[in-house]
Amino acid sequence: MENLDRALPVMLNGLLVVFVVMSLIALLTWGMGQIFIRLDAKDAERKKAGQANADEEKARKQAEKLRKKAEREKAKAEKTEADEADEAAPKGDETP
Amino acid sequence: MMGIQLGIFAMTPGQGIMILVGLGFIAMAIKKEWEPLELLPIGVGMILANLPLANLGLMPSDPSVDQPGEAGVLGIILEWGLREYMILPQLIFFCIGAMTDFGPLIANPKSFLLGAAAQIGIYVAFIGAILFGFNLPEACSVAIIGGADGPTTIYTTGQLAPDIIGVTATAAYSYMAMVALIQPPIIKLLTSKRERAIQMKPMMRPVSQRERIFFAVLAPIVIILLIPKSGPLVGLLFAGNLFRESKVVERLTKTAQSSMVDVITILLMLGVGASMPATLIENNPRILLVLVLGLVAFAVGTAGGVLLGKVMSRLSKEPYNPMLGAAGVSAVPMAARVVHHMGQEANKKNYLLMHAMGPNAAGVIGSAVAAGYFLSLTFD
Repeated sequence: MENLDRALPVMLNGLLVVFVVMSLIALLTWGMGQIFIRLDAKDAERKKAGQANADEEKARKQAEKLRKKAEREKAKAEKTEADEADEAAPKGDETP
Repeated sequence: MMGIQLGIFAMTPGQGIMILVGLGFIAMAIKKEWEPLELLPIGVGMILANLPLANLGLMPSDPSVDQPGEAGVLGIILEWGLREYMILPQLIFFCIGAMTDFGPLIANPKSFLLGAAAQIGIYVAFIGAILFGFNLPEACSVAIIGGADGPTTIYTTGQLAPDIIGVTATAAYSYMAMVALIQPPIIKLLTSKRERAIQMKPMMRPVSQRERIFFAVLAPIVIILLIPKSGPLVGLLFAGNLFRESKVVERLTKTAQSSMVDVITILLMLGVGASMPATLIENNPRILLVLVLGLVAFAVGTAGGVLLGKVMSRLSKEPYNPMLGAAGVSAVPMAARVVHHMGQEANKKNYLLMHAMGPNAAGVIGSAVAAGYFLSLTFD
């Protein structure tokens, strides 16, 4: 009986301790979760923005490349045309 | 005249019974495949430690040991690993941490409450043990069986009542092996088929690596600051988990998850088996009540979890299956599997395993906190 008198407070305190500690950890984990959800969302946004920038840069480079290629081709075509015209023109030493 | 001592003539009825119990464990492990990793070595340890005159279970501190070589290998494992330094249950917590995914618990922190509710069995069994005449330290050791956590039971009993470590450890591991038999009737009794069939949202929120790392660092600091005596268990549990989540020590994590846990399991289970010498029961038959009280603790713990699960199911805006509370006892992952199977029995589309892993992991923490509380008490 004496043991039971001592045991009851041990039992009640024990239950209280377990619930308090676990509730506290639950609360901390929830709070931590809220912070990390926001951080992760920001990270994802930043990543997305970074990705968009990268895509834009890539598109710009691609366009530049295409432009240069077109210019090169144009120059080449002009050169070929000039050469052909040159060839078609009467040669100096063939003067009658 | 030279004589040979035949063990068979030295065998006591108690040793005979313990050998039969050991054979029963081996049969359960092989025939029924009930937790063979645990029951097989426990059975082997029980048989070897009870074979007369072989002295395999003789501990180095036994008065009959004159020279160190006379102690038996199982006795050495038992004394140094379980009773004196209790290094094995602590190390196995490290491995459990390395194997545990706390993601479902972090994603749904309400599960912590289920892990707390399932510890109610511990305190009910504590009062039961007191009523049956156990003293306070023994009652704490018996009650902790309700946490359904073998290493926690061994660690607590080793500190508070090392003389009954064999019975408490064997009871804890046996009931953990029988979770699939003990829990379903209690769950069925407390829930309707409609409740068991409740289908939960399949996806939980993803938990990032840095959140997991943060949890593995923050949780033990808070818990140990509140309950310092839970430190050896909680600290090592989260140390193992930090190894896992950091992803920078993959090799060490893999070792903890495989070879290390295997070696420790072999030593721990052989030691548990060896901690059941016949003399323990012959000298104190009342100790068999531990088996009954352990079962009560386990059953009440399951009921406590399910009842809180029912409350949470009523309060939750989203569908919440009350059976998840039963996974709050820390038998990982057996209790979660039981809940999952019962959920599928009631509704084929039900997939509760990941949801049940949250309370299951919370149960490990809850039982360590309960053990820490018992160890913080001072007894006259």
